[in-house]
Amino acid sequence: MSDDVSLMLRASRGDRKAFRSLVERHQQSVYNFFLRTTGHPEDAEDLTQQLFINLYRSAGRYKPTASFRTFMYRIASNLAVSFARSRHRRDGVSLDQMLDEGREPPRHRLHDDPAAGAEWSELEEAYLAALAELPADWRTAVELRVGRQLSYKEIAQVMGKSVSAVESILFRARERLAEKLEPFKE
Amino acid sequence: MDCDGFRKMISRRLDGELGDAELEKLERHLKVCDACRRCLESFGETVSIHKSLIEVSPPPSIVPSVMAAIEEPEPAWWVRGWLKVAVPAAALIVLLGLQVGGFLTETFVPPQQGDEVAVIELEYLDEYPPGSFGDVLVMASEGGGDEER
Repeated sequence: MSDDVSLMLRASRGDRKAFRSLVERHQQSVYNFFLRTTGHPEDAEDLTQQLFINLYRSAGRYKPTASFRTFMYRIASNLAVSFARSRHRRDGVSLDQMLDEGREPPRHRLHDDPAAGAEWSELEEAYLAALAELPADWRTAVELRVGRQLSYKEIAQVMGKSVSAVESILFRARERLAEKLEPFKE
Repeated sequence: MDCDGFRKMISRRLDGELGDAELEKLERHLKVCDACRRCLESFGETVSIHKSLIEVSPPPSIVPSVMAAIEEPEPAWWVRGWLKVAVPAAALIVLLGLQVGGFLTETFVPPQQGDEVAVIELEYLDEYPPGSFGDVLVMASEGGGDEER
């Protein structure tokens, strides 16, 4: 039995110390998942907190036969997609509009430290802007695969889709991302 | 298989989700197809950029906030259940009230002077309007007709 499963089972019996260990172990991964899927540090913080609160309250339903990571990212994925549906994008301007107007894409708010962002290339910024424009479930699938390193089978379980649907989403997302990056290549 | 099929395989290859036989088939195609090689390059670039993104440290407030939130007792199931019913029911009642009120406002026509309704209302101001049961009783008891009243 993995450490995560053991901690989760203890948490399901009301062991808050065990649950705190789980939060400490996974908060960085979860926070970055939400940061990439929402693009906003404040939203990522709120959703990370909400995820762990939901996780604690649903601990009684957790079965040790299921992977803890899959269980946790299933809740995270639902939160990310619901969040995207319930809120209009606040940046307002699309990447295409910016290019049409001859403007550079905005520095994506993925880091609180502006100095770190300053080192990013124009291509990276364009990639983040293009990622933010993908449909919420495509963005989630890309982040689960490339950022969180989940397998297609795990992503299918997390998102409640078939493996072939996940393959299709990732393929279409990459086509769209590559197309958006084309004007930024030398 | 056409190039579209091979491009889907390219996406799976980048994720390490391709079996040996498929991988060999794809490699053979890539040797002869410039367009699919460019696709491999551009898809691969999106993966490389994503992997190079910084893993940001989460704000230190997350752990204490979560632990404080789970210390608070969750509302009892019957409170959550009651709210699930009460809130939509209240909204429904308000909506129905607005609909009925709107219908009454739209369909109400105020009586005009000389309308039958106005005449009837005036008649009923009279204690014994002509032809009413009360008038007949009064006439019978007084032994007279309309001209005597």
